[in-house]
Amino acid sequence: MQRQMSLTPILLVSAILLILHQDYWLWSSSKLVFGFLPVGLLWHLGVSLAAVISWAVVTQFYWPFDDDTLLDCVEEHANETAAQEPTTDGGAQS
Amino acid sequence: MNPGTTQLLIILGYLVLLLAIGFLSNRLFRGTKTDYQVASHSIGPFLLLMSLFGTTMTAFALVGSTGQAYREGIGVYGMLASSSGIIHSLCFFLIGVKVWTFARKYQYTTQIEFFRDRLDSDFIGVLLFPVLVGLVIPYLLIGVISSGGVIQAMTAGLAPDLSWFQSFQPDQTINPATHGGVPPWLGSLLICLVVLTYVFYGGMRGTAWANAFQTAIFMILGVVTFYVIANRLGGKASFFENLQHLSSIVPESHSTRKNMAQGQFLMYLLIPLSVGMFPHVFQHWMTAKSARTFKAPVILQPLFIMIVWVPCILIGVWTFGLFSSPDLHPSGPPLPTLSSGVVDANKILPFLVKTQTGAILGGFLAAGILAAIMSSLDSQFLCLGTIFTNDIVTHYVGKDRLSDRQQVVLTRAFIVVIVAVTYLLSLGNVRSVFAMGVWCFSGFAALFPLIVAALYWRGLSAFGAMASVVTAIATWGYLFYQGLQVPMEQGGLSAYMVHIDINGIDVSLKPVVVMVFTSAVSMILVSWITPKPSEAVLKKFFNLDQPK
Repeated sequence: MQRQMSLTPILLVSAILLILHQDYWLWSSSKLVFGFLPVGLLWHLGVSLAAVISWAVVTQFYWPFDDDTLLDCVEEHANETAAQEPTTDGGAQS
Repeated sequence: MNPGTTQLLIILGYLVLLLAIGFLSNRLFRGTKTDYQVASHSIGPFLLLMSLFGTTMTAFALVGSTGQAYREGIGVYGMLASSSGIIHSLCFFLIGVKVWTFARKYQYTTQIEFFRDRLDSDFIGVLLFPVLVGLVIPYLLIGVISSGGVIQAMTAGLAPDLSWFQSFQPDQTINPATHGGVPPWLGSLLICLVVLTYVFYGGMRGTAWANAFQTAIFMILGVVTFYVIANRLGGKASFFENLQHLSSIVPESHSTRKNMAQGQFLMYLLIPLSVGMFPHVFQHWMTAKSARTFKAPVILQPLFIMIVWVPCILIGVWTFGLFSSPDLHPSGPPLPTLSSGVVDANKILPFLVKTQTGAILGGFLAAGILAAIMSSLDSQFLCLGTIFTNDIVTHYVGKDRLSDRQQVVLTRAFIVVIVAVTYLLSLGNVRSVFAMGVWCFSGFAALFPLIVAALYWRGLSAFGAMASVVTAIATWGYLFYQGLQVPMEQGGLSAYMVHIDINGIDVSLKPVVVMVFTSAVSMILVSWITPKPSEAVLKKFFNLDQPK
């Protein structure tokens, strides 16, 4: 169901993003990039895009969940439960 | 045709479309409780992405963000949006997928079912139930009250001769922004009935479909609104010139974060942690078809937040720039104000839509704002109906004594009751729905240490979990009471800070910091000194890679 899950890459990515989020060096800068985008807002746009890229990489290379094994587990557990206590069922079509 | 008629017709058309989605999804209903509550775990990546995003974005994302940017400037994006982009995805990844795996294996639908099993304690359910319900209710109120306000503002002028539709200011002069519009009690009632109907018939599948549809609507219309309003406010030849002109008139107070405390910016990072404990988000996680389904929401949540928030933030700061200087005022009525004479920031977006766009586009944009509101309301109504049924009735009466059909009927009955109670509460005198929203998020954030510990800390004991919940809610209650003492002129609930004296230095903390800290500390300390979970429980939750 779950491979041995290393939290290190996920926590590392999160820490870097959260550090980038605290952009105190741009606090008082009123520079407009492209003539309309305040630099403080542009930075945080960049943080949002960096988050998208980071999560894409993390989910691609550090995805700790294996659906096939999981579904086996679910099926096995459901069979055990069914054997122990038959479920009630009824229709509720509205 | 009276002003506001076109907008009303478009809003009604949109609501009819939503009802059709609800009835259509009902045709796929399999008649079981699992299908009604979690769509038989059949939701794929696209629907999960859209429904999760729609659920986490409330009226605050469109209406509130514009208003907050008008008050505080561009820093609002970093404070509330880019931080959410990081933390929501982290929660989906580290909490969502993991609880989903347990839920699929052990057949959980609600958080309380998970916590009862994980902590081997029935009482934790009794304790969590009123806390979760009590924190969701204010969240629901935000949506219900906002929807009435939006419909009234967008249909102003519709029937100025009808006494119910008339709207006056405290000095008994006509309120031009709302006079003649559908009264808020009627607009809210209409929204409640529509959401109730499609949730009642469609269950989770109807909710997910409606959420996906509404999310697409409010994202597309949000971008269209931005384009139209920028061109109307700017008055230059091209869109790009308008962007440049409008940004050039924004004063430094709003194009920088000079007026924003850096500590507050940091402390706001804790608010999005609330998503890890929202019961309605938990229920949406349970609908996922597979673990892989979560990849789309994890990756794209920050992008979607950006698409919705950035235009609203820019509109908010431009409006401040335009209306703060008499020379730059656009033609038309002044900004709507509160009885105190202060600009009512939460009405800025509906006001601009009404005054700067045509009737048809205005109607569609009103539908977009309502879409953002309803895409959260539906999940919350369904979730409360589900936890009443599963965690109270079915749990105590016994699963074997209630058929699936009876459980679906119960869930529906509870949803009707919750909608009715929420609507009646919305008619009361709520001081500030947006302040209530932040407090509600803070309460859920205070429970965040509990879900993290339940998933990743073997040492969490049942008593430790109970201590965490009790501390979180006690701290929340105490600080909320203190916040109520702050006069509205000084910012009211929103402005309340906890002051701690450290060696003569006054340290100001957002209430959420105190709540999360005390909740985590009490959980750790009590877990250390109370009996640890049994080996059987630990094996069940910490040895997943070894199927029995």
